Amino acid sequence: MVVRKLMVQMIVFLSAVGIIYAGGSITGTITFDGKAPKMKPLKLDADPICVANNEVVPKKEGLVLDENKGVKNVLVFIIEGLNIDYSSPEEPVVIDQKGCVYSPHVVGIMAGQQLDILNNDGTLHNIHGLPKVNKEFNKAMPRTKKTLSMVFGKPEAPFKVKCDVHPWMGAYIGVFDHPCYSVTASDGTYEITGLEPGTYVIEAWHENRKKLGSQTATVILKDSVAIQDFTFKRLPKKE
Amino acid sequence: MEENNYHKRTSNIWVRRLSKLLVLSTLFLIFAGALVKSHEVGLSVPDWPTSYGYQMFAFPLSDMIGGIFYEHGHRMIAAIVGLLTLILAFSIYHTDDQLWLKKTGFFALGLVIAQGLFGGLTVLFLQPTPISVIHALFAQTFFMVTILIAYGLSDERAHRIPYDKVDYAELRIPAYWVTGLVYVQLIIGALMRHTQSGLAIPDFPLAGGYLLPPFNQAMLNTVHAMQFDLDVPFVSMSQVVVHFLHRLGGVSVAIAIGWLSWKIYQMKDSDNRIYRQTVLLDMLLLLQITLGAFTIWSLKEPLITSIHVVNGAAILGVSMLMVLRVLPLKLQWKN
Repeated sequence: MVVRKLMVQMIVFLSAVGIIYAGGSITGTITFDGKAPKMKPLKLDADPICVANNEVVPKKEGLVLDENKGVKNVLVFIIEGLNIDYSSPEEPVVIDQKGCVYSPHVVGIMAGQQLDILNNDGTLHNIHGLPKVNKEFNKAMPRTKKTLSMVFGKPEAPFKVKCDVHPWMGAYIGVFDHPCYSVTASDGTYEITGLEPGTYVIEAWHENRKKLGSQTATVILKDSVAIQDFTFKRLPKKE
Repeated sequence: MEENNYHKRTSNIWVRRLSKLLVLSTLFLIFAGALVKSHEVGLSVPDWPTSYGYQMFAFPLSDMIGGIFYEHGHRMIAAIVGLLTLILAFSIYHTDDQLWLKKTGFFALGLVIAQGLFGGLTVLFLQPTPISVIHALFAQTFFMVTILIAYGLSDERAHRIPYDKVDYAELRIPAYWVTGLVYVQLIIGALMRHTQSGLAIPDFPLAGGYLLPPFNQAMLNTVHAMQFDLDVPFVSMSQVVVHFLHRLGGVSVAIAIGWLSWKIYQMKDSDNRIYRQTVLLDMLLLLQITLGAFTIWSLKEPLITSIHVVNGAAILGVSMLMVLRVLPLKLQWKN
């Protein structure tokens, strides 16, 4: 009986430790409401290597939806409510260039954290970043250069990185002073973890935000999980 | 035809041919530059004056893929045009006796060198809009200078009657207007292209659904809705205005060319060359309006857009030649 009671107490204690260690999380699904434009296949024939490196021709990624209209590649991040100073992690964030597309298409990174851009295409690329706060850059990436590493010193709203050799290639990078961000999966779901109970303002950022509008929400995290969904719509035709 | 004793000179036939080759090469260079912008690949070669570390003509042809084909190709053609200008300037200096032409030859050389440097600066400074627009304008200005040189060296001018039998005085004002308006139109066009305003109004012949756009929020919303459906970037009202100015410029140029053409078609004893040139100008204008429409309907298909740009340069060139032909010889070429 005593052993059983001890075991129960142990389980409760370990669960509590687990919750504190993992922190709470904000999760949700991002969907699109309305008729979406069709994403056309990319024209890769400017470079035969790009054609050869893709079994299926990839499509544009301006607005990627699944069958339930979940929106992929939305960067969700906390803009208010964090009271902790975070240090940047050791492990780098990686963007690969394979088949002349960037994978992943949208990433978050902490200021001071290393970004590795890989070239697994066996062709020439240039990496042209268009940040506004950090310094704009344009670096050559010949086929012999397999990795290009860089660090962004300051937090910054997501900006575009593109390849001018292959003008269809584009990726987006958000630089933060905290690790509390998440990019939606192909079904539109996201999860920001490691949060203490509190009130947070979060933003859902999409590369076509000018077309879809900016989305923010205030979330109160009481328990281990708070749910916050977003719905993007196309802007009205006429007022 | 009476021989022109006013400007007795003997331009070398090869220098004359070289000057015409330079005019055509420059037009081709403008086309190559337009292809670079239309494909948005101006920074596909991140270094300058080298290309991925290679010297200009040592870059492997096998690596001229994607945007590099256009950007590095543009650089190579520009180098050839620069070389032709250098040879022409010194050839004129050594073979011609007209001081103004010698000066113009070296002015062209200075202009092409400055143009090359601006091209390099666009790469090194990551295409700031003012430098890109200046680069585009220098291209058109240099093209006009090459036409001036070619006409100055030409047989036509050498045999022109100093006091023209046909009085072209009434053509001068319309010819100035056409050339001036086309030049201004090309400035607006360059501004439109380098501020990403080419599809700021995505419908034609209407503008944001209106015949006379009101430039209010309702119009901008309609424009944005069209851009959403077409999957092209949203724009601001200032971009819409720049785009509409280019359309207005087109209308102004069309009216001016119509005025000039009407004047020439009315003349009974006009020079056959000027008559043919006017027909050419009208055809280029019609082609230009068609290309402008298809540039929008095709969502800036790069080849159509580039032909639109080079055809605009051709209109400028033909207008410039018209001005040179109707100017009194005495007035123009005093040393």
